Amino acid sequence: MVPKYFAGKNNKIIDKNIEAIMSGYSSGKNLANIQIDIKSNNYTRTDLLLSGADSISLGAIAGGCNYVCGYPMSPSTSILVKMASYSKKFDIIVEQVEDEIGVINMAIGAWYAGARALVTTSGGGFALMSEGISLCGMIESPLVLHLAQRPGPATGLPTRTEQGDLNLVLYAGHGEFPRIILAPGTLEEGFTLTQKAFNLSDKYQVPVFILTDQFFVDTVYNTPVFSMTDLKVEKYIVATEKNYKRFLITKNGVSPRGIPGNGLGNVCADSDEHDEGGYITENMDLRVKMVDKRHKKFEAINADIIPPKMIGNNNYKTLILCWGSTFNIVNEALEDIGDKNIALIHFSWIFPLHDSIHEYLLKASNVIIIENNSSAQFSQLIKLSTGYSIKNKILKYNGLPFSVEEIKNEIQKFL
Amino acid sequence: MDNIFDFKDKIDIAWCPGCGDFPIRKTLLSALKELKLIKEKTVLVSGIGQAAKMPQYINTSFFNGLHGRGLPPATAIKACNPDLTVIAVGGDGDMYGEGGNHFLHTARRNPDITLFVHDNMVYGLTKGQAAPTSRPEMKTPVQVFGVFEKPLNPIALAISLDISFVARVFCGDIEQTKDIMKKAILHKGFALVDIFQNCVSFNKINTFKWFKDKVYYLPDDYDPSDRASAFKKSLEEEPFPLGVIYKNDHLITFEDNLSTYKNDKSALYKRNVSFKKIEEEIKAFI
Repeated sequence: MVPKYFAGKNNKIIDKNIEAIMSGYSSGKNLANIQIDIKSNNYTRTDLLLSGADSISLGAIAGGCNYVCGYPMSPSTSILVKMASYSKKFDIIVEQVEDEIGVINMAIGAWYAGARALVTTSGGGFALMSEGISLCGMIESPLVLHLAQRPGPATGLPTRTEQGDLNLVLYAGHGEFPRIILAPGTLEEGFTLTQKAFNLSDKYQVPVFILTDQFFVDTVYNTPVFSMTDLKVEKYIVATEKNYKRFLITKNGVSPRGIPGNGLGNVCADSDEHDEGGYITENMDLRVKMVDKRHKKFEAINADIIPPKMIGNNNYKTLILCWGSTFNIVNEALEDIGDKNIALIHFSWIFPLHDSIHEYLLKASNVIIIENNSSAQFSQLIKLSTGYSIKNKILKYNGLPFSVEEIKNEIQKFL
Repeated sequence: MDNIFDFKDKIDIAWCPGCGDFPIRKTLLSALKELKLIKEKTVLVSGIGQAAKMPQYINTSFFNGLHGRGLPPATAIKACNPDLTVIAVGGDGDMYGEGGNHFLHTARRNPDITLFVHDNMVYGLTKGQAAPTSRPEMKTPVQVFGVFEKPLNPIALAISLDISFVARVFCGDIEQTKDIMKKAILHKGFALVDIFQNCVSFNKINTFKWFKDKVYYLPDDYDPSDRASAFKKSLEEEPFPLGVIYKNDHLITFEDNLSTYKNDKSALYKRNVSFKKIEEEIKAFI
């Protein structure tokens, strides 16, 4: 391998590289005395072997994604790279933009013209996109935004993991407008939720976030083949009539979405407050109507919320909560503990929160939340939505994901 | 004869009486009409500023987004549906200040869109602060000691970036401006027209008369294809040359570079993804 990679270089360079490899190998070997005993398992032969980034990318294609833009930033770049590798086969426009502000404005322009655009970024990059998210809110533009979290603030730990940007995506953008936040817990959810994100975004004309992290996007494991059977690319674009009004006030707040060049009407999108036709207004009654219209979409979205996944006995005493990428770790820890009094609920639909959370919390005598951050951001959101304060928290924020052993030990302390 | 790009009813226009934006609007309306553009396939894109209000006052589809951010959506709109005629409009602050980075990189992409920059050397919407193109020593409520930063030279910058069509006009010359606007829209590739414009409320130095006195038209035999001499021309100030200063017809556009349109010219919204192909791609991970 080494001589092949360095073909054309002299022997000294090749020898030095072999020496470096051997040195690394022996350092690793001496680091810990680990015995790995893996037996071959036939059932995995028909499984997929892929990363979180692969699952998100496949989900995006299955959601009809045909425009991707981004600015390289760890750990989100792998999706940009994967989508670029699919660009020819699936006719996807993939563009590396000059900065993240350009990225989000370009993606919104793409949706305006009828594309299904994906943005992929990390916390620092997304911070630059705040005004763009607010633009989505005002012009009611769909947008699917994947954010792979890494520890902050600022440059933080660029190649490590954390669930520290929930509050960022929850509150980013000035003004008030609806949004949806999804956080897949498994590779299968990475695929299905990303696919769904495009349909949801198009249906409700709101930004939809896919919130992952370095641990999720970079982890590779086997999983059963993703099924396409129940999936559909749902398109909500209408051909416009002559007097088309882009922001027509409707019962559920969602206006039929036209695009330029498809029909006879003008499609007018304006970042200023506007009337139903998209023209600037200072009329205060109309302003109230438009705010109410945008807010109304929350009610419509409620019907589509995927409830959290519950694992365990219904008569639980202890309830463990977690969200996003921690699912497999926490689930395995609970399987190991094997206590019938403990149940797990995992959230991959983060916002708006599903109503069932009230009932789950009230039934428990002991509630423990597990989050890969320092301030238990999801528990804050739960408190805001339900008034319920979760006291027992297992938090980790040194840049690493949880280990199963760690979770087991920490849970025992609260039992 | 009626102009389909104008409104039948009188519209409320939020520019000061005497603003240079009025003749620019009138000229743009005539240019659109004379080019016989299809209204349903024309999109105006802008950021924020007095100039960026233009799309509101033209009867067509528009995307009036964020301050400084007109060019990224304009590029994407053209890339997602190349059948559309996409015209971006903004002021000197919008396009050369807040949106400066997008200006540089849109030049590199060379999308087939047109950019009209209303250059009045001042911030109008925010009431009279310095613009990137403000002349030295201009005093404003913020630049109280007078502007000491060097003014940005958009024409020289554009030529250095090899923008495929670079022109400058003066809004007071309706016919010449219209002619260049039409050429810019017809040009295949990124076209910049920097439009000298007076701001009656906040720029008492660079007035209509000042511009009129400080410009001259390039002679008929001027060759805009010679980049080095165009660059030299672009450095001339007071008087400033007007006309098509630089043109490069040999650049490939952003859309034509995209593999998406190599075998299929249809707009993205008309296409459907093949689930069979996705299934194959999923199985590649077994």
